[in-house]
Amino acid sequence: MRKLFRKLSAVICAGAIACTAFAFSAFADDNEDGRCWVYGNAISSSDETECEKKLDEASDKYGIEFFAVFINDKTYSDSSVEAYANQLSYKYTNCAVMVNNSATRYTYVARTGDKTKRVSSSKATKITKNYINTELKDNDYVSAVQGFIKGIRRYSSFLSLGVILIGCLGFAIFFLIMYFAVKAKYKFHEKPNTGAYLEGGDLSYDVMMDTFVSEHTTRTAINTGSDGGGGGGSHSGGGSHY
Amino acid sequence: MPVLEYKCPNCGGGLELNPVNQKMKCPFCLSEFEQAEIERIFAEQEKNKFNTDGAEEEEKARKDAEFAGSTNIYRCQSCGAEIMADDTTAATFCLYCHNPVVLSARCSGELRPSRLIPFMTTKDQALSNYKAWCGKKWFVPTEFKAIETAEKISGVYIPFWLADCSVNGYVHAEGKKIRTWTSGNYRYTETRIYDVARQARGVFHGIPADGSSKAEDGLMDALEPFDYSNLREFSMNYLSGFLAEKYDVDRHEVFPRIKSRVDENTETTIRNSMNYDSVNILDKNIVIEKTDWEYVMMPVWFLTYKFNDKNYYFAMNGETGKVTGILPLSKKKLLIGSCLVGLIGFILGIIGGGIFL
Repeated sequence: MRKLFRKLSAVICAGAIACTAFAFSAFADDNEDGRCWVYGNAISSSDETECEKKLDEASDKYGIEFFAVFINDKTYSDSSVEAYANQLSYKYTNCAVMVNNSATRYTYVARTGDKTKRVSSSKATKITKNYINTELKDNDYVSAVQGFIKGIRRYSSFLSLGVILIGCLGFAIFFLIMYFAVKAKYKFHEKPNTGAYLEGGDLSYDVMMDTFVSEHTTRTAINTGSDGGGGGGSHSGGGSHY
Repeated sequence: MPVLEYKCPNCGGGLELNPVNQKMKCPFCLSEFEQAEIERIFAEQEKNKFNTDGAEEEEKARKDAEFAGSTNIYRCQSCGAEIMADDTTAATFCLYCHNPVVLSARCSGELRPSRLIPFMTTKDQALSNYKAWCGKKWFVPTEFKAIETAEKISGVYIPFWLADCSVNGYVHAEGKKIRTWTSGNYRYTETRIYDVARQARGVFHGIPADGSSKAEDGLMDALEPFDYSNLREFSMNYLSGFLAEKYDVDRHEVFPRIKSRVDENTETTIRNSMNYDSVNILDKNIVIEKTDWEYVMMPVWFLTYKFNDKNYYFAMNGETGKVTGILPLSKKKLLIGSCLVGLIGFILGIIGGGIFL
């Protein structure tokens, strides 16, 4: 019985993957020119043209292949969207792909290559939340594409805002330590060593009493779970609903 | 008030103490004399003076004393010029002939120190030590380093009180011994608490505290330690060629400083005898049972300088050569230095942030 269940599960999963692959290959056959691909009239043709232009410009300027895919089909699950974005991003050396399914209100960003290697899965999720979905809520697709490019650029850069802030914090800490250390040194009077005048270098003790009072023991569980994350692969992605 | 001048038996020039060999040296004819020899010659001269024109001298001295008592002006016995001195000056120089003058009444009776440590370093050494000390300080304004200081540095005998204190201290504390170990997936911490009591006694010998209100206490404290093995019986000879102050802060006023040092050190010493991981003092009682005082003079090379309307001080222990002082701080240099160090922090922050974010 169990074996049968396993076999059935395997068949169902394989079928689902095959259907997804087939569906997206059908899409791909439909519309694989340019950088902005639209399925099911997800966005208007004027927006598509504008997005295309923005993606072209960004790709030329930054040496990263930017793609945006807009789908409007509620039969495609989030995992299908992710699989499609990942599949597309693997085709290029340095690539960033944004896939949006307006029917399920889900956006996913995937990337490959060294130029975008700093964009981890969590950062890709941040890009969708903070740069793309905020615009998509207003159905502003062109701004969403611009946000996507901006987000990828920001998180790809070594000098992200967070890093600069840490640098500034480092500057402030080192500056203040130096400033006050020097100021204190220039005011400092060496404290005399009174112990040098003590006869024999020590006191003589009339009473030295050490009485045991109590004892208590505490027990703390050691956290053995590994906190570390996986290595920095050359591919990652992240998505969110809006 | 009578003044003393030790004159060279050869040329009549004012004799000064040479710190290098502790002999009296004439800066004019460069003759050198043992101190005992000069004292003998000086005593003979005084005796002869008294025999020849004793009455006249006595009258003159009486008038001088009367005059000096009200005005703090003394007469130089070399050139006759009037020397003005403040209430605490015990030795100085005549402004006109630059002969060293010891105001002997300021160092006699109750004001007479029992012992002193003579100068064992020269003015040149003090100057070179000052320059070396100042030169090492990167944040001192450049224009300040260029100021000529040679003429301003003076050897001053500072009055000091030495206190011998017998102390009895009691400290009651709670001590904790902490032991940690790991077993399985747990870390265990065992804390053992002890009631700790210590009663101790001891004697501090010669804790110094300056008796001059003009000398900054912190600066004088920083000159310690003095090597008491060089303490000599007080003689006016040692003052010749240097400035000297009599005390204007008596031992009662100095006692709180001494007590604070004794209390602090006794508590620290007792605390150090408690071998625990942490000690929390619950109660303490430190009593100075007896204090013996000695009034001495200590040699200090002293320099006060004004820069940008603020006074700064340099002092060097005239016995050991130890230097201390307060120097002006260049805000421009400080900002540049801090920015450079801040820049290192920025770079480290960027690298660290880039790796971990």
